[in-house]
Amino acid sequence: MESKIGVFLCNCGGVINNIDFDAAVKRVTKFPSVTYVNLSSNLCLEEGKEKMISCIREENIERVVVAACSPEFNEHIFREVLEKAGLNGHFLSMANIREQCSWAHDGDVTMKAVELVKMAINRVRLLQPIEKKELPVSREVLVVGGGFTAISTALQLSRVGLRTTLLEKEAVLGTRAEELESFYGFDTSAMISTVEGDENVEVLTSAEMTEVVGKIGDFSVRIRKGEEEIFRKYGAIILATGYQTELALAPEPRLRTEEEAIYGINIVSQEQFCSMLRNSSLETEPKTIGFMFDFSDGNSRFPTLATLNNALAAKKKWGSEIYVFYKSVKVDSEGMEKLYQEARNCGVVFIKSDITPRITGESGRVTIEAKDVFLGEDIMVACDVLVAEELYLPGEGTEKLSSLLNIRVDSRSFYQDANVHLYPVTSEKKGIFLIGECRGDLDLRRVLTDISSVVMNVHGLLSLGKILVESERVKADPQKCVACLTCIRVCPHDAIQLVRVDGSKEVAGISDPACYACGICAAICPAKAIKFQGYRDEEILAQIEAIGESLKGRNVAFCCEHSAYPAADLAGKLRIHYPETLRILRVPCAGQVDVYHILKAFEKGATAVLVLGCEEGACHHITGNTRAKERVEYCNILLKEANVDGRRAAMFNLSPNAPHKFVRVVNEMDKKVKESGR
Amino acid sequence: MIIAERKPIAEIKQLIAPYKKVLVAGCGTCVTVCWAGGEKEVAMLASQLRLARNAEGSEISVLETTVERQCEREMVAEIKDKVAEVEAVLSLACGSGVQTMAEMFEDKPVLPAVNTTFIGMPEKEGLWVEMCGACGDCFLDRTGGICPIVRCAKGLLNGPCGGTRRGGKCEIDPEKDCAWVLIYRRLEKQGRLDLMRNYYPPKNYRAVKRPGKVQAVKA
Amino acid sequence: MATPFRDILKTKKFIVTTEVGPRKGSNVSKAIEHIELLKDKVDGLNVTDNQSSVMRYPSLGVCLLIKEHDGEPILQVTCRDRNRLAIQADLLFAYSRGINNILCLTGDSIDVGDHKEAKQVFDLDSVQLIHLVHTLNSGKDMAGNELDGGIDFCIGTTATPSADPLEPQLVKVEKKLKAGVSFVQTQAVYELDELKRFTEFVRNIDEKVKILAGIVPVIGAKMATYMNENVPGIFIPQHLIVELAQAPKGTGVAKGIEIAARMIKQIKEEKVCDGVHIMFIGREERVPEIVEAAGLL
Repeated sequence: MESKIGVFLCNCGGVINNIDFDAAVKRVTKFPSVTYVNLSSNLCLEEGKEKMISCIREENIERVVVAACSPEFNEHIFREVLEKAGLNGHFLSMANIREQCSWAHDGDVTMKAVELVKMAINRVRLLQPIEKKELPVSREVLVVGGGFTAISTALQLSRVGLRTTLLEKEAVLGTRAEELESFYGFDTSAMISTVEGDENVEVLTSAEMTEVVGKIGDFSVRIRKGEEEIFRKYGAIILATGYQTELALAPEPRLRTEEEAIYGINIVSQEQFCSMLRNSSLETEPKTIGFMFDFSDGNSRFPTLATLNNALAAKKKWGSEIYVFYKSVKVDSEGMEKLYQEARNCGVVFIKSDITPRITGESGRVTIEAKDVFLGEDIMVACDVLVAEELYLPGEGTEKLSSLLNIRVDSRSFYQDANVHLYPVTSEKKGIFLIGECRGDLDLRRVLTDISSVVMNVHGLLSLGKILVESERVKADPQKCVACLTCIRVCPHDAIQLVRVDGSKEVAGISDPACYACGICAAICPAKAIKFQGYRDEEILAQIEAIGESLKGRNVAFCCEHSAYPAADLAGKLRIHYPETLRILRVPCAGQVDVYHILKAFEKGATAVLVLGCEEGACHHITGNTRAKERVEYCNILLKEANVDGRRAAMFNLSPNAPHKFVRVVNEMDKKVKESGR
Repeated sequence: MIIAERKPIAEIKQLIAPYKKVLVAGCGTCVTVCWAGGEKEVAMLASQLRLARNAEGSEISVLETTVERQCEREMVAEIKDKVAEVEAVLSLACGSGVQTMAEMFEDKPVLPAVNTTFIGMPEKEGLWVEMCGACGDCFLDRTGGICPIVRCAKGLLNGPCGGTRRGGKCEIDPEKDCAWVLIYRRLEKQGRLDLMRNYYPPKNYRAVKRPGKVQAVKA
Repeated sequence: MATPFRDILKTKKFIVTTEVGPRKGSNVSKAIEHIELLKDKVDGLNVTDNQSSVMRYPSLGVCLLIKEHDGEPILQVTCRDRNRLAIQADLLFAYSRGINNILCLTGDSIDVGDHKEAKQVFDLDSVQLIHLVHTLNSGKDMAGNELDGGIDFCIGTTATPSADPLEPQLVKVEKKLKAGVSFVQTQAVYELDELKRFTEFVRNIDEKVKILAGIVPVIGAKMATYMNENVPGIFIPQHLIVELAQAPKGTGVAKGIEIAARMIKQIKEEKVCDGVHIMFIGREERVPEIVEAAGLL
């Protein structure tokens, strides 16, 4: 039985003025299965929503098309409306007749608007309901690490009522306490005793994770502590494994002999210098101290912070002559500019050099020499102590943990956060968080923000002991799955594993809470066993079939909802016009578009096909845009083999805030099509 | 797993040149796993063929189906109605599947659309490598679980040959490891190098008399 | 009449062998020329078997010619082109015509040759071939049948002292020695240390077997680099490449010969091994120069 479809059009308070709505309504009413059509001027406002709800109820509408503004804006609002009206919220399809139609083109766009509505109708006819289900989750949290960040996090989690295990591989807590105490005045031992005494925190030292299985809400972790093996379940795992430093001094030929410059006595690390400062029984106070930083590793704030703090402290304590050799002083964290000024005012001498200074040793002193950029002259300082440059590296064990947990590291081998601005404390796997220095940033304020952020995240996630997830949004049909393992290997979020059905057969099981609904698995499945509700082949094809009589003269663009789709919306908002012949299909990720979809679009007569995704290196699903690129290339090979006329697919990368690039790409494609005379 | 590779489209087009209505039949077992002939590949090939014929200005009707296992008569029988509608069948199954289909539908040309290549496994995403030569006389126990019959380019039983390239690569293919170097390392790890020091007499190449037959013990 | 090779092997003489490479075609005049030139300057004359997997006039054919011209042929047999029946049959024929020295090889792969679509046989490998010859020597064929008229071959084989990694190769060499060979002709060596290590290894297993170091003159820096990258089992060290590069234009061949002769002299003086096997395919007529320059005549 055909479902009753209701179409709700909106002219956005009369702002959409280049669509003949009367004509549109007339045409839409004639489409099969459409039993109700309504034009509003304010669908998203209370009044409009109330009206929608009563219409749905009164007219027994089973599926809804909303033709209005961009779904990026209001899709969730309209889903709620459906729910309130008693329908499953996923029986909704939207037609973007504002940003991507009315605002994007000159002149009357009624025909395109009607086509967009038809696309949405074709799609909504096929949509399946998606239910939400409650999943129990463990309220226990695992925090890996033993320094300030880990301890603070555990304490805060305890305060919000979550039980935590603090897992540290060393024998004692309090890594890198010297610096924290020196720079920030923290009382590390007080912190340690607090956390050890906290009834919500289990402290496991000399212990390491050896195995992790499961997904968010239900991680099964195996911990080895000496001879003992401990098994635990956690709802979330937080990595706070910190960093380590290494002296950056190159070997010969800078140092004449090892004896002449002795590491640890004349040449020290920042941490060692901190100890010296706090050592009340220091033999001789150094009269001349040299610092050097920012030559080998320009990437972190730590050296600047440490140098300024230590230089000032030394000046105040010993009154020594202090020379700081640097390439650039990065003062972009809170309080740093002030610190720098204070240091200069105290008489610390700053020497700027473009090249790493030469270091030599002789008769118990270390000489550091460099050309001052401002003076244009060589400066040579003989120091009693040189605080050498350090490389700022990921904490020991980062690599091991990253492969144990199957999460990525960045180009410097620190854990890779999902997005430095928007999702700084999440990894690409749900339920696994990264905070503090282990994700490559050092600055107390940022660390404190990370801690608050993750506590909020984890509390929001686990506090109720259950989470609401969409059930089977993406599912591998056990009847069709051949357990080829492709999706398991390919999922960028490690959300798929082999599961047993009917007690025996092994098939791919997509974890509802861990899935990001990107569609990469669905596209790649060689047996077409994976159904991604809302983006199944039939749902995509139905939209393509609705375009024009036979798609002739239409260019199809698959636009990723993280990049090109909002860029297209923005082009509309800015009234940057592009050819009306473009039909946009919204996809969750460029990686959800398969060769099959592109071929089908051509088969149905599309004159050009564009696949638009995020910039390289910025795909939200990591490999989606690269896969899309490879598939587009392969598709073009198939088209060439088939001797198809010049029609080809093309892939472009852009950011969501690049409306001009979007328009340029579309214009160029359109031009090519026109020139080829199709 | 039997590994196959799709034939070049030019060859496939040639095979179906005389026909105006064909069925593209995939197989849901081995060729699905190695991305050569599953439901997705069927759909893509069908699309490509339609586009190709269109480009030539001629018509073709392409039906699509996938049999769970094309080397089973009962499963193949399930698609007989579709086969009846067409002039020829393009099978994406391995040679075993193609021949079963050909036997079941004797009146229709059943054409192979893939080349069956070897028994293998996935070394990494999208890359399958040959592992087993189906020689019928398995002696993997003596070579640390590495088969020299197929993984050594010359199939030696007392290898390596004198042509190993620097770094232990094969004389023929510099990207490929010399199987006997791999065998040496594996046996060394297990402390069983004595197995490699044994002399192995010439192989019984007639262990499987072709065409092979295996009669399982009746249940 | 030349002294039988197997008898020379029993003496303490510094042994010299070289090879004649048959050509494509039934015209054997060049082969005969080379035979005449070389037969009295060496102790044994190898004939290659479809070398580099390129189809040529058979080794067996040229060995017959050598016999006819009173030389001492060494029949090279690879396992690439013939199965065990064909090989056994060929050996019966060879012996019946007075050829009784054999070099057992695995053989290059079909891919390096000019008939790239042929089926590789490799019914046997070189170790199995050695065993086979012993079996025939004992008067029976591989299937255990008695022979009406047996054979008695002097058996040799090859080895690659500069393989990388070396250990798996040595396992193979040991198997060959244990199977029983009278002489080993190695692949080209350019480093004496490598050769010494190899000789020591062999001596620990078999004190009597004669080791003949492979000498392949390199006639230019480019050739050297090409060989390093493309010819399996050959590693020419950098200092020789430099020496070749510094040779004046047009003197490449002479330089190659000079280096080769120098090496042979050194091997002989330091008694590193029992002799040399000179391989100069395509330039067989220059081999006498090498032999002379090395002071072996």
